[in-house]
This record gives sequence, C-alpha cells and structure tokens, in this order.
Amino acid sequence: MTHRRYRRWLRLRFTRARAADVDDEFQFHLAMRARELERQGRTPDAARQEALAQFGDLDDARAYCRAEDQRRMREHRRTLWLDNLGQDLRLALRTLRRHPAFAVSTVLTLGVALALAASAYGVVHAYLVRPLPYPQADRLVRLTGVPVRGQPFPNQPNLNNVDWALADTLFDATVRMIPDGFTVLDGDRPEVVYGAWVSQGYFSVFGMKPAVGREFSVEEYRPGAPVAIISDALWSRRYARDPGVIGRTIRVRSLDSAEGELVTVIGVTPAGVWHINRFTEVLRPAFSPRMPAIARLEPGVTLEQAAERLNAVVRPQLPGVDPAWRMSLYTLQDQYTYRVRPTLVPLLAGAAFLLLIAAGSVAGAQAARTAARRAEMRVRVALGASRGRIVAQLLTETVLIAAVAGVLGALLADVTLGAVGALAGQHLVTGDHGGAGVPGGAESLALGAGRLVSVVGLGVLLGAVVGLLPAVAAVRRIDLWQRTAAALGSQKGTAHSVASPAMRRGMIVAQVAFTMILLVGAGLMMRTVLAISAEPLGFTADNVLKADVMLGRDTRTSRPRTDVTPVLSSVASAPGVRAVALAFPHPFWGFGNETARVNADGGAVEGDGALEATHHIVSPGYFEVLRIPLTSGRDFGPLDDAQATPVAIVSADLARQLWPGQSAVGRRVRLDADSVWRAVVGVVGDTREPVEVTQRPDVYVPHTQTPVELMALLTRVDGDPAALAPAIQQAVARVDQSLPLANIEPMSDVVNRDGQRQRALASVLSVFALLGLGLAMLAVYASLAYLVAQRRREIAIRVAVGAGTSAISSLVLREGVIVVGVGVVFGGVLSLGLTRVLTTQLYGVTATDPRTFGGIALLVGASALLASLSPLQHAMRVHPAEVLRTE
Amino acid sequence: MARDPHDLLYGSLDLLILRTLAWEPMHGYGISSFIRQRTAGVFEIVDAALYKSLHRLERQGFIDGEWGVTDENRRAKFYKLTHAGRAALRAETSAWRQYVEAVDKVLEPA
Repeated sequence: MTHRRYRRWLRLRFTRARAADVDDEFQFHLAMRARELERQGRTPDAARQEALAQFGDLDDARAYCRAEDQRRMREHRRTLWLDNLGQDLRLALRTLRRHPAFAVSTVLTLGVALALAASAYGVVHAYLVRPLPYPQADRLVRLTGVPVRGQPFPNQPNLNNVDWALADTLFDATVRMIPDGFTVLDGDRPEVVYGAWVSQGYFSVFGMKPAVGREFSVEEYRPGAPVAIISDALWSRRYARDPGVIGRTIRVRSLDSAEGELVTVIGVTPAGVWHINRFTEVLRPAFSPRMPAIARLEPGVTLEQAAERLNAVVRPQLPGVDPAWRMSLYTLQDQYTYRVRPTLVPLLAGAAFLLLIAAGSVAGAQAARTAARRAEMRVRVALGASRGRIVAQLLTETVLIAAVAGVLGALLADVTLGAVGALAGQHLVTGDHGGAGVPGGAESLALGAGRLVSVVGLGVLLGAVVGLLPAVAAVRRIDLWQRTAAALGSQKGTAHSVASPAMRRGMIVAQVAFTMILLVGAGLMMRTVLAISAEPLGFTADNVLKADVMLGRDTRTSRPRTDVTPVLSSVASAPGVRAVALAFPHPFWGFGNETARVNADGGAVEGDGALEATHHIVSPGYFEVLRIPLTSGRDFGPLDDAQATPVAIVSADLARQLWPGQSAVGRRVRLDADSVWRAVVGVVGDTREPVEVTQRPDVYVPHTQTPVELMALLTRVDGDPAALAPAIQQAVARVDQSLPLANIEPMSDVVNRDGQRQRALASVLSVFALLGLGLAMLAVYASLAYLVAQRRREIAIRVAVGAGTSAISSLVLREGVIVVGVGVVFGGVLSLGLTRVLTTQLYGVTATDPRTFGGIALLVGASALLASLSPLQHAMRVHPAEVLRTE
Repeated sequence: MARDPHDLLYGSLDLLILRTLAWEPMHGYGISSFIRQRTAGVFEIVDAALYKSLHRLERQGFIDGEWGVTDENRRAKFYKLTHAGRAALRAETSAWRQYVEAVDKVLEPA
C-alpha cells in the first residue's frame, strides 16, 4: 500500500467512526468566538448568545455539512474499491504470467467445454426454442387424425367423407398440402421431382411470395387448372434461370395421371427460403375437400380449445366412430421437432455435464494453487489485508481466467456451431420418416451477438463460482492461522497443512460422478448400436443399387404400368449387373409401410382378428436381388400375370402364424386390399424393418397382378453400386425415355439409416465421456500427487519405523479409493435417474442395464488405478533419511 | 449599499478561503478571524456560510480536513490546501483579477 493510499485509508476509518464531527467543529468555533467576546467585556451568557447569533443558521449549516461529508465518504469508498479492483487485476495478471501453464490449460479446458456447451445449446435453440420462420409461427398447428402420435389407430375412421369446410370456419386460416410426385417431361431429359397440390392460403400462411412471376389467382384454385409454380432449384437446373420461363407451357405428369398435362409456369418460389415443404419443386393449385394439413389458430385460442371445437365438428359426422378416436392438434414446431427432442436433450445434458466437469477441474487446480500460495497469503494477512481483500483477489484471478475462456469459447462456438448443426441435421436428428433439418436452415445457426455475450457471461459466472470455493477455503484457513498462530510456530506436516481436503475431495467426487453419468449414457448408446447391428436383416443390402422409378399409368387402360419387362431386361444386360427387380415397398423404405390384413383359409386366424402383414408388391427376381432365401415353393415368374391365378408368397413368420406346423404352399390367403383369394406359391425368409418400426410378417404379391405407379428399381451388381448408377440410368433411358430414376443410392446407405441417430448420439456422448474421464482422472492424479508431497514426512517416518510397502501404498490408495468410490456410487445413483431421458433411444438394452453400469464402474476404477500409479511410485521412493535431513 | 453581505460574498468566499489556507493550515474559527482582520471588517463573514463552503471544498478535494490539536491543547479540525486546491486558487485568482479589472474599467470616470 502506498503512503498516500494508506493515509486515505486511515482517514476513512477515522472519519467514519466519528459521525458527530460537524457538531464538534461547530462547538469549538462557538467556544472560541464566545471567549473572544468575553475578552471584549461581555458577560459569558451574552458572549455565548452573540457568538450563536453571529454564526447564522446553525441547523441549516449542520445539515449541509453532514450531507457534504457523507457524499465525500461515498465517493472515497468508490475510488478505493476501483483502486482495489485495479490492483487485484494487475496482481492476477502478474500471477498468471508467472504460471502460464496453469493459465493456458485452464483457459483451454474451460473454453473448449464452453464452446461445446454453446454449440449444443445453439442446436437445441434452433430446434426447440426459436420459432419456425413463419409469420405468427406460434399459432400454426398440424391437424392429424391419428390420436396417438405415430401409432396407427386400430379403428381409424374414413375421414374422406367429412365435410372439412366446417373445420375451415374454426381457424384463422387452413392449408391443404397433398404431396405428389411429378415427372417433368419437357426437353430431352425427363426428371422426377417431389411436388404438392396446395390450397389457397399456402402462400400467405407460410409468408412466402414467388420471387419471379405470381401466386395462383383465386380462380385457379379449382380442379385441373393448368398452372404450376416451380422451385428456384428446378428453375436453375432445367431452365438456366431464364425469366422467360414464366408463361412457358411444360408437360408434367403427376403420379396418377397417364400421359401428363400441359401446364403454364406462372411463378418461381424464392431461393434460400427455408420451408418445411422445402423439397417440393412443383406446386399445383388444389381445390380439395380433404382434411387440411395445417391451420392457423384464431388469436387467443389455445390448442386444447381448438382441438375440442374441431372434434365437436368432426366426430358427429362419423357415425359409429370408436369413442377413443379423436382428431389431434400439435403446434407445427412441436410436430416438426418431436422426434428430434429425445436426441437433443441428451446432447445438451451431456455438454452441460462436461462443462461441470471442466469447471470442477478448474476449481481443483485453483484450490491446489491457493494451497500452494499459503505463504504469500499469510504475508498479506500479516500485513493487514482483510479476508474480503484476499477473497476478492482470488476471485479476480478465476474470473479473469474464466472471462478469457468465455471469449475463447464464444469464438470457438461460432466456428464449430455450423459444423455441429450440419452434423445434427444429417445424423443426430434423422427420423424414421426422413430427416428433420435445422429449422430455418443449418446456415442460420449462428449464435448471434446476444448469445455470444451470454456464453462469455456464463463463463464468468462459472469462474466466479469456481473461484469462490477455494477462496472460501482460503479464508477458513486464514481464520485457522489466526487462531493457531500463537500455538504453532511451524505447521510442517501437521494435519492442517492439507488444504481444505473435504472441499477438494468433494470436487473430485463430483467430477467422477458426472463422468460416470456421461460414461453410462455413452455405454448404453453403444450397447444399443451393437444390438441394432447384431439384429439380422434377413436380406443382403451390399452391392445393391436402389432407385425410385415412377411408372405412371398406361395411356390405354389408365392403370399403373406393368409392361416393364423390356426395361428390366435392358438393365439386366448392362455390364456388371447380376440381377434386377422392382418392389414397393422394399425393406427400410421409410414411409409408413403399406400393410394388409391377411385372412387365411383353414388357418388359425380369420375375420377381424386377421394378422397384419407388410404388403410388398414385387417383380420376379426380387428375392434373388436381395438374397432373401426361398425356403419352399417357387418365386413369381413371367406367367403370374394379370390373367393368371392370383398368387402370393408369405414370409416364414407369417406361415408359422397362419398355419402352425403345416406347409403353407398350396394354401390360400385373402388380403384386405383384394377381393380375391390368392394361392400361396412360396415361403421366404423373414426380413426386418428399422428397429423403431413395428415389426410385422410379410406378404408378397406380383406387381402384374397388383399394379402400382411408384416402385423401386433394385439392381444387384458386381462391385460398387454407386459407380454403376449412370450405366443403369442409361439402360433404362435406352428403352423408355419417360422413366426417369430418382433417389438413386446404394441399398446399404438406406439400411445404414437405421441406428444412425443412435450411432451419432453414441459417438457424441463417447467424446464427451472420454473428455470428462480424462479431466476427472487428471484431478485424481493431481490430488494423490499432492497428498504424497504433503505427507512425505509422515511416510518417511513410517518407513523409518519399519512400515512395509503395502502399508505405504494403502495410505495413498485409500484416499484414491474413497474419492473415486464415492464418486462412482453417486454417479451410478444419479445415472439411474438421468438415463431415463435416453430410454426412447435405446434398443436391446434397458436404461438401468446392470452390466453396463458394472462395466462402467470397472472402467472408472481401472482408470483411477492408472491415475494413481505415478503418485504411488513417488510414495514408494520416499527415502526416510533424505526427507528427515532436508526438513 | 443595502445588499446582503451573504449574497455579495457567496462567489468570492471560496476564493477567500483558498487564499487564506495558502498561508498555512487553519481551523474554521481561524479562517473566520483571519478574513475579518485582513478585510478590516469590510466583509462581515457569516460563519454558517463559511463552514458550508469548507465542507463543500473538502468534498470537492480542494482542501483536506484533519483533526489536530491547537496551541491551547484543544481538539480542532484543521484544513489545508490540496494540490487541486492550489491549482484552483491560481485559476480563480486570475479570473477574479480579470473580473475586477473589467469592472474597474467600466466604473472609471472617462
């Protein structure tokens, strides 16, 4: 403390202690004046009277002077505080410069953890917090006739006969979107694109305007209006962004039309506008009495009220409807993100736990450093620094570190967030019905200035909390010194020298516990991934190329086309092709699989209790392409055409359930989609669907007997299927120009989407868990090393009096076992509660799987043993003579 | 002149205090007596105003008050000029002189 500051400090103390200063000062003045007047010959009374009179308004002066004094005091205190802060900051900077390793490692640990947490939060924010980029997005709802989300209702009423115009009156606006696949037929290269028939309100509800051209006019919302609006992507791809495309007539074939229609392009949707319906490339106007897909609530109406009103209108129109059936409303955001939420919660929780572990590491390091700086602090206390000043100085150090770490974290997060978001959009949040990209687009994932500031703020807050613990410990120690200073000349090797062991132990226990939680989460996810990949597919996806093909309708019969034999032959004769077939659906198709109730003659199941099976429409050769074993009977052949006897092939599981212990071939089945009985001609092996889908037995029918417009072309090839894609496309085009292929990808990619989310979650949690384990074990190591260093004297004495190596090692290990053991137990108990958030993501393993918990506990124990090896060696190498001589 | 001396002194009282303390540290009563003597009773100091000035000047950092003991062994608060006070005195004095000169020029018979 400089001389000046010391003086000011003294004065502050002094003046504060005497509030009656002003009175004393005035009294002195009056006494002196009265004495002077007495000397001039006044009586003492008269003198006092006159002195008072001369003084003027005493009360006013006193009040004024006191106010001035108080104001001065306040200003002094403020400058003193600022001086102290400046001093603390300078001291902190100097200290940290002297220990760059500590400063750098702390800033990095905390900074990276903050960046990860901020990135995780950025993704969560984009999905669950930020509203969808639509006007009044909070009032947009999805209408669905399925009462329980995702679960087909057993007695689903036919909603096509409901007068939905009544429902329109209940909402601010309604939108109908009927998805379709369009084949664009103009030019030399036909192309299949997604499209939709949209109703009036589509553009206004989504706040979208065509970038070029115009919206559909009111008159155009009628059946068969020959107009279309195309996407920016299609405009670029096919028309080179020529503005002259507006008004041009193009031929477009929808899924259920035979030769397509000539429509006039009237508009182009804007580029770069994120949309739920963003894959849509051709929009046609719809005037449809069907159920609206999306509606905007009237202002002030809740979701529940709207659902109630809707059911009051719809249910009376459905006589005999199941009493349990209801229309459901979900907010659009909820509907878009509900599948994603179970993966985002573990992501955010994992990042938060890692951040806590990192904070624990910083706290532990700071505590150790504080302990090592006892001498410095004792000097400062001896020189008169108050406990508050010591705490303030220690806090300034950690807050400074944390602020730097916060800035680093914010900068890192800004860089990593885009990558994390893209990853999340592609892998983490891929639902079983296609992905759910980041709402608003992955490129909109910037954290923004406000949230970057929050990251820094969070860092500083963590730093303050983390710094407070060792600082409080230091204060307790100072008290201890003050009490024991007289009694203890030296404290070498005394019990007091282990700086606040309870607090540092607590820190390590917490770190181990949080690590345990992360490890258990990662372990359960890995078990899930293993369980999924161990589940036999029942078919071979390798070397198979999949492409969607829109067969469309036959121009003469206006039935879906079946005359595809030349196309299949052309593909089959292409070099490298082994076999080719058509199927709808193939396994892992992804959309709600087509199901059929199977009635069997003479079988176990009849009528209402009929078994539900996945209904596959396939061409001959399908089983060969996917290597699904034919266990008895025969495959479909070219003779099983529309005129021949209706036939079917059943999976082994279906055969077992329909005719237990009997041969299925020669039996007959009737599918609820059909009116005819089909002869079972073969039995094939079972195949499975993604693990999240209800598994059903399969029934197969030839596509010539049950034609369908959209099928998948499956080609088994030699070598890399992706490399043969162009050859296969050419082989198709050689025979039929109007059969473009879409969504071409190796079948193995399709299959790999199963468990992709679990794999991503497993990897993310594993990374978090391993980082956490590393930090926790570093803390264990540091703590034991410190313990050994502290107790060298004790160890030396014990060795000197004949303690064996086992006694010495148990001294060290006991500490490690206690701390890690308590941490593992705590972490295990916490995990039991917390892994529940993973339940929906698990497969083949329960959230409380004892083997996983046991294995993780062993892993933590083994790591802790590893971490204690080096301190243990040091303890063993203590030479009593050396230690006792030097101390 | 029927003017209130309080009014007359208010602006210049600060200046007088600073000037007085430029000689040596003094307590309030000392300052009051000193000004009285030096101005030969032209300025009738109202002590209340003097103390108000003193405490305000102390708060502003122009003077520093410290409790001490008088020659007669009585406790009194002594004020002394700070660096800032000395600077202010210089500035105020020259301003005052300019003011007085200006007034003189106006009042001088032509």
